[in-house]
Amino acid sequence: MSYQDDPSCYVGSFPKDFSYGPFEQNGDGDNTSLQEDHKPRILLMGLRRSGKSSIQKVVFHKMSPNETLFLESTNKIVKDDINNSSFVQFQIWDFPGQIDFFDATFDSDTIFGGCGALVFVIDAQDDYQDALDKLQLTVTKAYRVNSNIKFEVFIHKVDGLNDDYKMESQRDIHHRATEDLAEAGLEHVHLSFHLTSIYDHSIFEAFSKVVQKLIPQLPTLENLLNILISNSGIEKAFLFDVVSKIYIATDSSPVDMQSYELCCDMIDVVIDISCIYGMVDETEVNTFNSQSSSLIKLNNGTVLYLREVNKFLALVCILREENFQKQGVIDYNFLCFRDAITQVFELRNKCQNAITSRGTSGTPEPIPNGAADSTESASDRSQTHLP
Amino acid sequence: MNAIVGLCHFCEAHGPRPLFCTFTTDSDKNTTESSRASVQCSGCTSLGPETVFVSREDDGTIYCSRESVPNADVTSFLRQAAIRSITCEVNWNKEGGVVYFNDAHGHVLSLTFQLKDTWARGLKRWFSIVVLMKDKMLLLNITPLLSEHMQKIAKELQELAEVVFDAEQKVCSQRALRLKTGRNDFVQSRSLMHLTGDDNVFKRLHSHFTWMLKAGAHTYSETLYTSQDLLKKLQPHAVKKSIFEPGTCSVSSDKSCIALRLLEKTVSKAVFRILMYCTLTGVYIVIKSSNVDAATIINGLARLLPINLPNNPRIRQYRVDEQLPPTVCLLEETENNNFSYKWSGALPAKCPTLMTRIENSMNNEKFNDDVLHQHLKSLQLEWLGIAKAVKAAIDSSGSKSDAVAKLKQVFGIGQHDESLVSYWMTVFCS
Repeated sequence: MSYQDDPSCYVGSFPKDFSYGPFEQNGDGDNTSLQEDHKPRILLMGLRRSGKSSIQKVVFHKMSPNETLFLESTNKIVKDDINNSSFVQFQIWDFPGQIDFFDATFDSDTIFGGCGALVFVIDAQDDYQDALDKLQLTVTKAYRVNSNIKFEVFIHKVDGLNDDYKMESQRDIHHRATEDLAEAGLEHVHLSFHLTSIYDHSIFEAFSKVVQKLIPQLPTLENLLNILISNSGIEKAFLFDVVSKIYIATDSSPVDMQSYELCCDMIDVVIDISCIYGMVDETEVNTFNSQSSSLIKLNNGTVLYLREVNKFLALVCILREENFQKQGVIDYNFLCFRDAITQVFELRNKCQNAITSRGTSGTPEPIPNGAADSTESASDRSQTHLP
Repeated sequence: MNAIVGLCHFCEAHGPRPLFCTFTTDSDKNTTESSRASVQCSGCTSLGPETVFVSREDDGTIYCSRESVPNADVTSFLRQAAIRSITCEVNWNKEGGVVYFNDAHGHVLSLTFQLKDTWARGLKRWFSIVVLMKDKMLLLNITPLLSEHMQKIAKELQELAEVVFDAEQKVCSQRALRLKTGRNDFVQSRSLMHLTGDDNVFKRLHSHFTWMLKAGAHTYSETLYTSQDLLKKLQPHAVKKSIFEPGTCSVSSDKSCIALRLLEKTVSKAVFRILMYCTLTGVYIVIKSSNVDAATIINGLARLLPINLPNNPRIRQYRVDEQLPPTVCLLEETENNNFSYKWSGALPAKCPTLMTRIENSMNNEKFNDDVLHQHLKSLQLEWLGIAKAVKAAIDSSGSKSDAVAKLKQVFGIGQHDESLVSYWMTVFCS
């Protein structure tokens, strides 16, 4: 009787803003925002059996590529939250290839509205004419709903093809797809093409590039890595998301596949070793922690050096053995780098939406500032740090 | 039971599709017409376009199973149900039942389950049994019964498929084969007959689905009650002198019954308002007329009351030489057909809500007399309902109680309505 008179009493409906706020950042830099709006969405689309679910399982669920032969056909849109670290936060939607989601009974605004990237998977081992038709249809309709979508085309299953044929089919698909789009009056829509296979690292590499486009802080991270490598005599540095082995940033020198594979393998080694020997007690699941680091010297005079940045991110560097004489400097520079990354996180938490590369102007520079010869200046500095 | 029971599957090539359905009908046309073959696919066909299974009841009901439904609307509904049951609706378990409602198309009960299939990609295929119905309440009520049986059907199919699967795996292990060749080539989905190793599987399904339709019809039979029938059955005394009495809603169209607007014109507006107020609140009215027949005025005023009391003692004709107390309202015809009144009372500053609404509707020029009278009837019935409710509340919890005050507030009964409501309660709600 009485509750009808009491206007402050909510029955069955909460006030609109009643929800969980973003979590406070903890020491590990692991903060998960429950507000879905901030999470970009990656859609995996393409014809049936083109390998969408396999990609998702191999990249994000550590499935062995052989096991994908036994995956069931996807009958529902499978939504997968990737929440590993503050930078790598997105949702992957894996679509059944048999169903036309542009049918009026599906709400295309909901599907494509909050979408960041659309990955269209084409089976290169199959006749791809149907796939190209579908690609054109998908791009035109999705673009109409949301013009901010980044379109990525994975020319997939290229492991069975020889190199000539690979290049030839990429050229052909590229040519025909852009022509189709021009026909539809969408010549300004950019498609990125990647040759991928789940049996090697190409799928991780391609997915890295997809994910990087969704990270607004990418220029900052690249800049930080550039500063780090130039001051530490490092040849190549990758910032990895450890769980998925996709790299969320690297320095601006070109990436060659071999060094990327090397770094991936190193992460595997570290994870395996720490899982086998690093377990303190049975309950501890994550054995990769702030103490984790690894050093591998190859017999060709190259050194691989891994340091963890936070619970989910690791920095992997490739450098010449002679530049690794002063490890202390590199470690010190790394600490500066880690601080800088942490600040980027904090800033991002403060203003979730708009963060530009300028936002990090307050971060400390690694020590040698503007030195022409980084190796030399690094060794100068080392005097003060090494006994 | 007026429903369609269907079997749907997830085809590797075509996505979710219905492949078999059973429905009740009473015309033979449905049993002879051929189904339209939608696609050439071994997985998506069941009986073939020409085959129809028919079971007949003595009462003329025909249970008919075929590959697709002849009606285009129902076909699209069935296709939607296939898509929704297999690709959209999620049960707590991986396999399981879901009921969902769609007022535009119809309501669906579905059960999704998997059958083992050596040739399928995940060594399993998705199927669903759907029950399509227009009647939401009936569907909800028989859901426990039907879903139990649907689970049994699913289990039966799964057991059959398991036997076939094991036998085929013994001959050639798919796991070894696929790992060795490193590929899993596309093959058309196999038909349910292959999967279960039973050539008569669709005959089985026909009998199962027919049973479901029949059981549904036997469990709940639907009787259409009007609210009046229902109320009479449940609470006969509540119907008395209410809108549920026969003829309550009819408006007398007698010649002897003067139309209200005409009455207003005859007696002049000011007098009419007094008369209306007196009639509605039960003040005694005596009519003394010379030219105009008093009976027509009495009948006209009776229109304002929800129930026509025969020989209403409160409105009557003037008897010669009688002495009237001043509380009685005397309507007198003077010369030139003018009317005047004599009454010690006066109109309150705020008239009862009902009276205001009657006046408004009389001033509404869009209403002709017939519509107006019908409209007044509905207004009166509304207030009669209010009076009845208030009376029931007073009877159960006393006139001073909080509940009655709240109820009045809810109904919007103000101080100015009290006289009307209390009069109506005593006269019309006994």
